[in-house]
Amino acid sequence: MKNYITTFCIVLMGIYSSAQTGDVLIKNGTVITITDGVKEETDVLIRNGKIRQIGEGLSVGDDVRVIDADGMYVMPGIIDAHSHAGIDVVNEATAPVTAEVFVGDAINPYSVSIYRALAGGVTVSHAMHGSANAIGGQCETMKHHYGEEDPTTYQMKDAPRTIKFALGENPMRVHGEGNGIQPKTRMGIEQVFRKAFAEGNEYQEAWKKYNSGKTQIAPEYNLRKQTLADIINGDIIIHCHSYRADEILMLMNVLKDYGVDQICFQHVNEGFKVAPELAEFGATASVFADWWAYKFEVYYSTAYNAAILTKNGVVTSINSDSGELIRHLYHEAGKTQKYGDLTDNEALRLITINPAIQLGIDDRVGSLEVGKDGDVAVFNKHPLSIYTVPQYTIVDGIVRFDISEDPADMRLDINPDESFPAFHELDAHDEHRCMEGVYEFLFHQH
Amino acid sequence: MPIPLPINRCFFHTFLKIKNMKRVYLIYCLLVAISSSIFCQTDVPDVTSTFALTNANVVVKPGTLIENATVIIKDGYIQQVGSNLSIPFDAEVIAADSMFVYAGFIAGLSHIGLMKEEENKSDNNEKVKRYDPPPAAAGITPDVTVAEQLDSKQKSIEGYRKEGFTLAHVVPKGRMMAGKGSLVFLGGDSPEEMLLLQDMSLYGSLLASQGRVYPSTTIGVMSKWREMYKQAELASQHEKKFMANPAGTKRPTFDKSIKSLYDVTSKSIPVFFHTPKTLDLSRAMNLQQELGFNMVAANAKQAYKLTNRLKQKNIPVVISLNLPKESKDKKKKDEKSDDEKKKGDKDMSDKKKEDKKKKVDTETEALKERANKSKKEYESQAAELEKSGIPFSFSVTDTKAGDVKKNIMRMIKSGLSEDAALAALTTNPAKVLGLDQVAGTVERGKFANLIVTDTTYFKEDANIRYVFVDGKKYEMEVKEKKKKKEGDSDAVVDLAGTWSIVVSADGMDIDGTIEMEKSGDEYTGSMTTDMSDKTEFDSVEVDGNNVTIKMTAEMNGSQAPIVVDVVVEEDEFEGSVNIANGMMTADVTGSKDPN
Repeated sequence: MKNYITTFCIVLMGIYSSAQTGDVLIKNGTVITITDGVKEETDVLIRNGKIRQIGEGLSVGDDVRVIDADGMYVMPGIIDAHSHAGIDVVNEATAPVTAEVFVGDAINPYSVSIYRALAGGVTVSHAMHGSANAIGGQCETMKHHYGEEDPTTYQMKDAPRTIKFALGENPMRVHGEGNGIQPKTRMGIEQVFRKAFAEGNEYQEAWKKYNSGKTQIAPEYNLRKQTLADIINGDIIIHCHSYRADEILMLMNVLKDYGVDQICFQHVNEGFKVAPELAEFGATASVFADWWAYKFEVYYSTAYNAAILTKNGVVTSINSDSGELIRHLYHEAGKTQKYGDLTDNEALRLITINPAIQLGIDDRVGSLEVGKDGDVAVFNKHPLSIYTVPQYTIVDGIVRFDISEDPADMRLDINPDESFPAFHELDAHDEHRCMEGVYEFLFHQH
Repeated sequence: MPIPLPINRCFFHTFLKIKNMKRVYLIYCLLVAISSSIFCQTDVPDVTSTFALTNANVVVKPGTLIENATVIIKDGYIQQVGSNLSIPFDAEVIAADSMFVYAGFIAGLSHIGLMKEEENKSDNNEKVKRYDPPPAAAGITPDVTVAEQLDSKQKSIEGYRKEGFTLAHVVPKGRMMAGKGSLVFLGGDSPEEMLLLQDMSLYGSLLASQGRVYPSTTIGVMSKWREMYKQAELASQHEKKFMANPAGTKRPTFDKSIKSLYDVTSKSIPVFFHTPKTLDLSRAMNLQQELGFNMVAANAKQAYKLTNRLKQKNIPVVISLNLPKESKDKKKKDEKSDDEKKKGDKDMSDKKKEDKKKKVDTETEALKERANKSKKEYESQAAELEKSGIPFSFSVTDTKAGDVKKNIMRMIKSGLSEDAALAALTTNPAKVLGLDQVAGTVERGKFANLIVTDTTYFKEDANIRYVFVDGKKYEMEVKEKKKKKEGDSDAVVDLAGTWSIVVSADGMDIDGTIEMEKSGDEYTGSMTTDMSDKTEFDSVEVDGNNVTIKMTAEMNGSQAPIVVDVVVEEDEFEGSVNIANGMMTADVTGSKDPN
């Protein structure tokens, strides 16, 4: 019964508190700032959702919640640069280019995956379109305000726009094999990019002519081509699903031809082969700690990938792409100490400031600094210890996860006609979701 | 020549009607009655278009009652309402002593009177380009007008009219942009006669295409709305430029989908946006805020979660009259678990198993409790909107006519006031649909759309006795309400034979047959429906006239249990079908074929 009361209170909080910022003082923790060393027995004060002060002996009035972090570790909220949690749709798999679609239109505040991510200390995730299309949809940088019911409150205000690209087998299978259209090969994928960028340029020119009065009638409005023009203009950061080194080089060459320079390669399992080239281009990389060989094009990889990329000066992050891994990204980061001897701070950068850089939000989150967002994860042991357990997760100064108040049923929206069959299906959110929604396309082929 | 019975009855009726009329009409009426007596059920021309409802309790509008009043109807309009009125000489008088007269109900949104959909030609989809499908496959048909889909012979018209609906906002069925809605009288011999106002709304949604073609997801649909809206704005500008100065101006190319959105972008007509769940509603409201069209939240089931925003944005709501299934009687289950407990006590070695089961039961109970709480929230949506002062009407797009009254009463039990319920059925839809000058109240000058009930409508056992649509009288038979059949374990039934069955779920009826054979005391048999192949029964249990049939069918590659539970009375049965342990349930009725 107690669980219900707590849940009910959380629900009420969600409905009646329009403010998504709060105040909290975290006392006497070991503060891992990421950008300014580790500070013992230090307090972190968050006011109106922003870090107001980091120091010793801070105090506040009775109205502010105080968390006693004595013996605990306080670090910036973890950031996942590749996730599909908290959205209803992953793939609009009907065309090789769907730049116009935006997963931010399908945020699902009722997805318990968001709460599970909070329970792993993750405060920000990059909810991505899937990899079915060469140019997929735009992604959403999401703040984990679980408990709120308005989807727009999850959108991280002022975060740059991002878009999903995909190389290799996924778009080839879905469109080439599945639908008999370009791209059927890796060569075809390059041409899909080139054609799309060319169309974006052409479209932009046509509008320039109209706006400057050279033509009388407006060109036909096309949201897809407009989005491609926005990419060329540098308004959108590309996040590209990639495995093979040759394709990674190919895309960098295409981008050079169109003057596009903001790209983060996702998965990038052969990134270690082209690490200097990535660094030279200014591309960043977001990888799995030790996961590969789940299909042919990703047969060849190494758990040293993150360390090699880091040592070559590539801004690297470790991501989840999964509702399960997202709950222990700190373990995933820890693996780089076994494979590659990264320091504590180098390892923790992989899940804090580096993904923040990749998402263009490092001025807001990713480290504990005065003036940054009050996004904090508190652990009972060092976050890279295999024995550590997250205790509190705070987003914009509001405690969204507290291990001492963690009811079994955290759902916010209940189907009134729910049935209670004798067996339960696997929760779809625990699956890897890059290709979600495309299997039906594949299975209906000849 | 013997006179067949219908003529007698018809004649009797006619006689009653005319007893208060002048003699000269009596002769005329007799002639009419006799000359057309053979087809008198349908083909008698109305003897008069003037009616007087005398000595009635007239609910002029929610909260305003005039007792002992007379309502005079003439030529489709309400001519007078009040006391001490003189009855016109040509009026058919209906003595409505102790009866209640209300304005005819108006359905805020419905699919009433639509022709049966053509069979979906799924073969066609094979040739469709997924990335560039024709508009119909994409679910983008704003140019469709429901006025061309009306059929005055559809049973649904009579069905909802019996429940008191006289006017309906009818919209086509469809996906992202289903098409244009019309206002329709629920009576009349042809679509033209039924139609009041054509193309006065667009029915839209965030529903993706059904054939795995673009837009196949919510996000595809959202961006398609944005793109088409902007295209329509630009195209209408272009068209205006061309019309003003055609010489030398580039000729516009007319796209029928885009062109049919001009009325939406110019805000001449609203978009009734299908928003059953909270997320549909908040997404649609985001889109509205971005694009600026006039919006009505349609088919809402969870609008109680967004009352502040709806109020702030002044968005009217049409709530769904469909409600979650009522919670089942808890008692029966408790008894069952008590029995199981006793069994467990007898056998101590099973204690561990029992403990585990108890834990699972507690968990399941907790889940059920939340589901029931959620049910209550859905039921109290209307009450919450009333509290917030948001005007709402009712949608019956997904509500069977037979559930209308029952669900209104459930909403009232959950806190909705009777006046607000009546407003949702009359004055509110009239206002939202732009009809308040002509419909929604019992006042002089309005359409003669009325209902007459034998006691106040909001009593459980109230019966609608007459419905007037556009001045035309429909008299209702008052049937004894069918009580839910209860089983009798002493009854004896014979199941052997062929049964025609109808399985009803979510407003859809599926026909089928059950074959039963008896050998000794045991029954065997099989079931076939229009939707499924022949499935042999695993077991048939008979307890008196309670019959439980179990079978197993393949669904999505796995074996799902199907349980049919019915009560048999002679050659009829009714009951329920439970598929995959409650994943789906449906009602079933059956009747034994002769021989």
